[in-house]
Amino acid sequence: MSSSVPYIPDDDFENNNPFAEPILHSDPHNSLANDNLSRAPDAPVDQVQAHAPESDKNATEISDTNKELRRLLPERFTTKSSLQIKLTAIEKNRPGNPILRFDAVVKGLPKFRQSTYKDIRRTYNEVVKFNKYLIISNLEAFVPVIPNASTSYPSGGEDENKQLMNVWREWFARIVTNPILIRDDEFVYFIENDFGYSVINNNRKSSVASGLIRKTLKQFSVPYDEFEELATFRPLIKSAYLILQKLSKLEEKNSKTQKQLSIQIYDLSNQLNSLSQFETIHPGMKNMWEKLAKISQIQSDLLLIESVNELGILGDGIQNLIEDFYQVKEALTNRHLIMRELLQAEAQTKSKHLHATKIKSKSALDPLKVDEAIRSLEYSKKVEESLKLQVNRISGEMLIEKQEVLDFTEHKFQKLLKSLTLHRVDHHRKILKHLENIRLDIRIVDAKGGLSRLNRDNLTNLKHNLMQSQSSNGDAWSSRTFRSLKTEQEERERSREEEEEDAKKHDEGEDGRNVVDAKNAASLLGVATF
Amino acid sequence: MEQDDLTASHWDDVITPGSVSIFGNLNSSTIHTPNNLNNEFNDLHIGRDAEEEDEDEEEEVQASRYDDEDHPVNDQSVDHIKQAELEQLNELKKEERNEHKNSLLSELTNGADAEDLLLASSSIVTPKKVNPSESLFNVKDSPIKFEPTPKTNEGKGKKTLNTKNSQAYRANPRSRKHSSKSIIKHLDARKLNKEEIVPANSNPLGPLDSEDGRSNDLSSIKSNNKAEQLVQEANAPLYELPKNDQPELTNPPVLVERAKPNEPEETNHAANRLDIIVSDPMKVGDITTAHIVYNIKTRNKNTSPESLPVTPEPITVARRYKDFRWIYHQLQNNHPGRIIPPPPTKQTYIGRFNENFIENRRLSLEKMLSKISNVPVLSNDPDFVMFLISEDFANESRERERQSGSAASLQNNDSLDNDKDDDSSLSGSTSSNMSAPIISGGGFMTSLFSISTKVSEPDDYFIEKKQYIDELEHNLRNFYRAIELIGTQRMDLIGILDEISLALDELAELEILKTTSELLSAFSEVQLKLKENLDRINLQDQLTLGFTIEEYLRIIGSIKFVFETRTKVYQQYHTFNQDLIKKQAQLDKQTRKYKMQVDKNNLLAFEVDKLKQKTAVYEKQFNTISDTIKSEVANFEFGKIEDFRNSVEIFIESSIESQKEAIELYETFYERQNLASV
Repeated sequence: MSSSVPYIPDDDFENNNPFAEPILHSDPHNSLANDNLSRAPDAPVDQVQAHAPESDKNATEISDTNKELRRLLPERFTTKSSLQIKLTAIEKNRPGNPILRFDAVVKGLPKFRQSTYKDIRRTYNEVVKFNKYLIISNLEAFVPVIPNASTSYPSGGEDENKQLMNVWREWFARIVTNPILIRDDEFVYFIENDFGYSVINNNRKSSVASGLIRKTLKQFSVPYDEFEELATFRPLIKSAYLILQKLSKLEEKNSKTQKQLSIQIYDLSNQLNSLSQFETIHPGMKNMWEKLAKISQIQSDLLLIESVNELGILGDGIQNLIEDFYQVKEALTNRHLIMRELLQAEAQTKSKHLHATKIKSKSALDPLKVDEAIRSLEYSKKVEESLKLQVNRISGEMLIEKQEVLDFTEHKFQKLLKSLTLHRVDHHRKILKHLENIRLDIRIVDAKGGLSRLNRDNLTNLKHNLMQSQSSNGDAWSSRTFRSLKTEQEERERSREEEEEDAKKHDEGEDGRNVVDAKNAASLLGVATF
Repeated sequence: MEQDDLTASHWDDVITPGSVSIFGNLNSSTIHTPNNLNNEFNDLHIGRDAEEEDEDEEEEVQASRYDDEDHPVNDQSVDHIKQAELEQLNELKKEERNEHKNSLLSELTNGADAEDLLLASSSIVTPKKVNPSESLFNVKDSPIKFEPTPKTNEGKGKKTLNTKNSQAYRANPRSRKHSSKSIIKHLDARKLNKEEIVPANSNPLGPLDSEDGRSNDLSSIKSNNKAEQLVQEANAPLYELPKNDQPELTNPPVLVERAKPNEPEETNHAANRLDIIVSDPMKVGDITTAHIVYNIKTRNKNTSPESLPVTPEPITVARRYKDFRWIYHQLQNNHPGRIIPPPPTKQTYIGRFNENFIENRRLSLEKMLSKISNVPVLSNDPDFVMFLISEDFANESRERERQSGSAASLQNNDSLDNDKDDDSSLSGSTSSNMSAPIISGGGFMTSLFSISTKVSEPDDYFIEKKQYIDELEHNLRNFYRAIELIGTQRMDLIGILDEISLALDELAELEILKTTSELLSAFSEVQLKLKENLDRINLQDQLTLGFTIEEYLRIIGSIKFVFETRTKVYQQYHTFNQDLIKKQAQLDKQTRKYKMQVDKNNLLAFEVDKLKQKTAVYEKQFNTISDTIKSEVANFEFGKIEDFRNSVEIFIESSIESQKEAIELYETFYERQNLASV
């Protein structure tokens, strides 16, 4: 415990308490419970001053709590500064460590020397280090974790690139929309450095306990939390984290089983082929077995693709969420630790105060002792104040960030399930199409026309009821005219004019015939997945 | 009428007219018979009855009229098919399999045209021959009118005959027996018929192997009407052949005690049309004797049955699995050469009372009984009848077993073990098990040849068939194993889907956000339904494809048994024959050398006589069995095509439905959760 007491507020506030200045300013108008805020270590950060007037201006019109929030979290109430990062390309590098190339546009942020930066190149590992730094130095934020450089898709494939591009873009978007993170000093270095970036503020140690101490501290009961939302948030996130882990394992198992199933269906197709080769007596039967073998093979291929897709979409998505949730959980733990520190500081102040009064009440006053007692009281008070301030700020930030995390989670789930649903619909539609294609082949095995005849003797036409059930105007089995894949396609076409041709071809392929050609399948499956 | 042609298999010509004819005559009233055959037949029959006195010309006209009617239909159907193909071509233009199809198609259409012409001429000829016989016999039963039709085929038959001739004549003795009592003309007719039978049976060999046969087959895939017509025409006489025999058979040969597989049913209406339901499996007995008893409810749709008592109420008896095996073996003994529909395989002690297993077994048993009842010879078998109606089965079965000397219950164990071997390899998933039956098959063969190396198979047909059956078994076994593996894999998947759904539900219950929870629980529901869907399709596949394959594997077991029986008979014949030759030589020598020793000579002569008799008996038995097997195997092929086609069709259709359901589930999920707007 004592190790966390010598908390150096100066150092911390230098970078992370941009509101320190505004507090000083706003202190006069506010009658806050923590009226000692004015004594907070003064380490004004330049950029905050820019917002301070604004927050001050508005402060008069807003209620007290809101004012307090504004005072505590000024960066939340400004739109002046922004940072945009656009990931433009992922360059190939050593495996697992690609180079991310991006452009940045800076607006209203201090210390940046330019407003636009082009072609910034950072390796993935550098970004990961930067990410780690952000997590350590921004205790009040739920820092998103950058998704892994490897996906469940075959490495180096088109799908992997697409997926990485998407998830990293998403990560950058989350990072730059977080007002706390973009005000981090390190961001300047991250953007402005040449190729070969390393974290500059490296020497900063984690401000909270880590390792074994942290583990021990976690065992203690949770300190009282005045914000119920945050108090319940941690258990929620924790169980979500655990369930997601379970789900991820299941997803993996599911995909593996599907893969095996696909292999077995392939085996079936082989058996059918040998059966058909052996069936020399009856050409109709031979044809039937051949067709069935072909269908099974297609089905096996599709299933394999589907298993990869499912793991790529749902498995990886869930993995990202797991990492995110873990980080959120840790951030909440950090808050608890700091809260406990605050409690300790309060206790210490109290004891110091007692000590001081004791000395005061003594008949013989030793000026030296008095001085020391007062000094130590002052010091512990200072520490307590800064901790209190920090806790308040963290709580305020987290209340906002919590909502952001939840929204993001929801959005993420929606996106994942949407993309999964589309894939699956596509998958099943393809199989259905193929199955419907061979119906006639089975009916014509002999003249009886199969079971479809339903005992109707006068049915000359073998081809009755062979309609493809997925016509252009809706599915035959339901009244719905809407079709998920189609709408999706149209949207894509609209948004990407240049790829219209391609999309159209795809569209046709979907309506007309088999889409899984060998090349397609091969590129999707990569080399050594089975 | 024209459509009816469609329903009949046009593969008849490929398999063998002979088989179909036997099939037909035996079954004319049973479900198994292709309806059209009967219909066609009846129609013709009615027409003929009306104009019984009419002359040939009219018949000819009528026949040609049929032909005329047939032609357009055929063309039409060919057109249909062409159209279908074209559509498919357009649809799948870029697929490579189309190329194959295309070529196939052109081949088909060409063949069809040629065949049309051919058929037209031949079918006109056929009816011509009908009338003479009609006037000749003047039997009231209409079918007989067709009797002499074989004459048209005669030429063909003789051509294909060649190698078979000897055998065909060997089979003659029996017919001669009767012929003494019948008019010479009739004898001639019968002879013709006899000849006809053999080539018909041996037909499959010839045309099958020849290129012509192949191309014909191809062409007939689609334009089958003609071929069908031809086959029917050609078959018609054979079809009723046994009926003619009937009156003459005042003293049927008592060679095989009860087995006269080729003997016809008394009359058409004597055949039972049984409705057999196996139901209510019930566990009875205490711990040591616990077993399942099935109720067999038999209803005869035939109003004047011969072998079954007429009862207004369906007869219900209780039988256990063991009894089914008994009747199976009893029938095997009673009808050598017949492929008896086998009962399901024996199950290990554990899991006997598993619900699924019992239901599966019940279904198999029901199928077995209905299949048996579909074969008139078998359905009228006294043992079978006893099995269906006897109240005191245990004693009666013992009595019958003793009477027939079949020792069915003893033999039971024998083939039971065999079956068990098959079962284990059947259900076992290891490859070593897979090869077991083949090895054992080989072992059987080698052991057979090592016992009497001199015995060589006299008929190529059987060598080929044996090989065919072995290969078929091997392939089906692999097929079955693949399906079974898929089944277990799917079961795993079902379990995982279930768990996923549970986990999703848990996650939803956390209420991270209300909307998220809704989304997740909806997705969980989708997973659950998918699981059910998968479960259903899995069960369906097992019940259609899996069940059919398993059944055919068992039937193959029956076929193998039949082959074995035949080989045994042949072996006996062979040894006797060998003896006979030896003794004959001895006798010759003796008579030449020592003409004095009359006693010895007489003794030898007596022995030779006896051996001759024995040899004749066995030869006849052997020939009968061979013929029976041939027709039975042909029937088997016939049934195989239909059964597999049907189960594959169900398989495909159910797969289609399951895909539709899956699509629908996802589409609904997509729509309800407004994912389009994400």
